Amino acid sequence: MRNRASTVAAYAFLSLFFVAFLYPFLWMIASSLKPDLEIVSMGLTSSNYTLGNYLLVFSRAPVVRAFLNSLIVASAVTVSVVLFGAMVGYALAKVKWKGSVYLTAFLLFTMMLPFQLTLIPTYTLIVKLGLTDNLLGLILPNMLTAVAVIMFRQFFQSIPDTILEAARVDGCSEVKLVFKIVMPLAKPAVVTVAIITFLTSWNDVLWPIMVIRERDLMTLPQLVTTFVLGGEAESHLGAKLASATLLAVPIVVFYSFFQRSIVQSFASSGVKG
Amino acid sequence: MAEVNLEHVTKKYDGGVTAVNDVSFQVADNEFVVLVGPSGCGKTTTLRMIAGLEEVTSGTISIGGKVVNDVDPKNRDIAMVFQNYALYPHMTVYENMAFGLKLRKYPKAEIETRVKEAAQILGIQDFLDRKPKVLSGGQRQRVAVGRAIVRKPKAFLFDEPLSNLDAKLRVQMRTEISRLHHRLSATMVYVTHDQTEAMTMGDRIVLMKDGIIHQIDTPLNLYDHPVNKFAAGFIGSPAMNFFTGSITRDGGLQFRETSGVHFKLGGPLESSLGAYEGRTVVLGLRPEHIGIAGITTPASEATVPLKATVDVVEPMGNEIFVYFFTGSGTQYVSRVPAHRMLSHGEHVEFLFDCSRAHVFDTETEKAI
Ligand SMILES: Nc1ncnc2c1ncn2[C@@H]1O[C@H](COP(=O)(O)OP(=O)(O)OP(=O)(O)O)[C@@H](O)[C@H]1O
Ligand SMILES: [Mg+2]
Repeated sequence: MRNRASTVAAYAFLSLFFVAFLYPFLWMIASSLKPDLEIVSMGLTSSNYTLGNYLLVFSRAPVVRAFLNSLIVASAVTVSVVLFGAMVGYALAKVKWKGSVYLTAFLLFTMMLPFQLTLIPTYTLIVKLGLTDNLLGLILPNMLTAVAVIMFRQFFQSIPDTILEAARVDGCSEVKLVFKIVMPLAKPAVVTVAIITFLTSWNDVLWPIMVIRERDLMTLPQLVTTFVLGGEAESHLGAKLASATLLAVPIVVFYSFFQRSIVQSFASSGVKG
Repeated sequence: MAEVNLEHVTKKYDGGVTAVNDVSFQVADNEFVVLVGPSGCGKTTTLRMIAGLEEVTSGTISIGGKVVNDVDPKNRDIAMVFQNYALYPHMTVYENMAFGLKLRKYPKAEIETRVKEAAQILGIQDFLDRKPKVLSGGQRQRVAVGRAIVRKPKAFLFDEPLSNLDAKLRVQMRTEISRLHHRLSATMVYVTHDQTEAMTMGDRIVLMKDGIIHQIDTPLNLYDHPVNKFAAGFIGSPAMNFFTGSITRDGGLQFRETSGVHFKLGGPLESSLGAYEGRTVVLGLRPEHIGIAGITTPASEATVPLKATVDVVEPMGNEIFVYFFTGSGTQYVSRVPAHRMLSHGEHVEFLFDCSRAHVFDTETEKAI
């Protein structure tokens, strides 16, 4: 009996948290479907549900365009980080070379630096390269990250050398070794790095705001931010909530697809999303 | 197929270890050469240098007449079978075997024919679409061998491929690899620390210790004519018995063990040992050359009887190994047919056939 009682108590307690975390999200979705006047209420229900807010957002902001931009940038960054991260990680993990320990230490050190420190120099560089108002300006500085390199290195170190040697004797070049042997064997690492990179890139607002001015080149979070804060939504609270919902939808879809891997990723990397 | 040639090959590791020291030997086309020696003697290092997995510090290695010192492993056209199999865990057995051929852009049909054929030879046709992790050790080793033979390389390199298998399977795979060698008429270099494998499989044996080659010879020559004490003691199981003593002239040439065991040296030894009169030498006698009165008959006139107490008896079925001590406290072993069982504590007369004795210099350990 006591067992059951404590179970019930635990569930009640957890449900409280569940509601506390989920309710604002549900409220946002529900309110985005209500006329502006009704949004003041904290409830979810309304007799006048409408898509008007969404129509307003779509008519005033290039949402589809921004979604595609985000998709292009996040995908390009992810592919590049996985590709180059794996190659560098392999070199650090498996190529015997005296400097590799120091290089790894140096990479770890760069991870300690707050990104604000490199923000201005990187921005200056992008301006000099003439890549402002260009999606390349969003992709280029993020094509390789120290975190990805270190994570790949750690995973790759656990692959036995003899397997690599067998492949070399079998006729494998070092590059093919990375893609045909090492990466397939380190699938969890590849998935982890890919998910974390994709989400980080997708959610980034600060950098796009610095580099992109043209509305048609904005990423989704950037567009929503400027839409909500930049006055285009005027005082239409509903439209603001609708745009926020639009921003959340791809993440929710992405999450439901990769739920299992995402949980594992964050658990294994110790990185918060 | 091709010959493999090592000339004055030396390998120094970064830590300063000289793993292989001025090693030279040739493996002829289609020859099966076994590198054997105790643990840490540099066998694996030698093999890895032939494969190109380890750089040569000095000396040259050539395969098929071409110096390969600076050639990458992938361009040496050799195949290697590793002790721990080193199969690709994410590929099926078929893919494991096809990998090398795919990299070399063989047509699909050709790959399939070769893999099927190799699988047939090795009896692994039924596992082709399984992953390595569901296979037993023996099956994995077959896949590893299969992966090597589909490539039809210039030479095969084996690094203790059987040491992870149980005793019975090891013997079975041993004959299978020997059979494969004849069937493929392939050049093979085989590393093992097991002298039985070396004796049974090799056309020739390269015997190493501490990075140095001690003897290169056919198995029987190595057994009958070891060039030094190490070779004599390493090859043969149970190992050769060694007696330390001095040479005296007392009627004829005599060998007197420190504890008093006493042999008369006859035959060819008499002339070659003349110079050692008054000096200490090591005398070696294989277990089968120590008989037991009542079980064996004296093999030659040079047979010396010695009474001793039986310590441990190991019956092998067809023969027994009898361990005993002499006055010097050294353990010796005799190997006799299993006509009669002996027991611990029994006093018997051992018959030392001194015509078969090997004699070694105490300092250089070289055979005299
Ligand atoms: N990568 C390395 N770095 C430094 N020393 C090494 C390295 N590999 C081997 N050695 C040393 O070189 C010597 C020869 O090693 P090797 O592996 O060739 O011996 P082995 O004859 O194959 O022995 P085993 O029968 O135990 O496999 C040993 O003393 C070993 O410690
Ligand atoms: Mg070894």
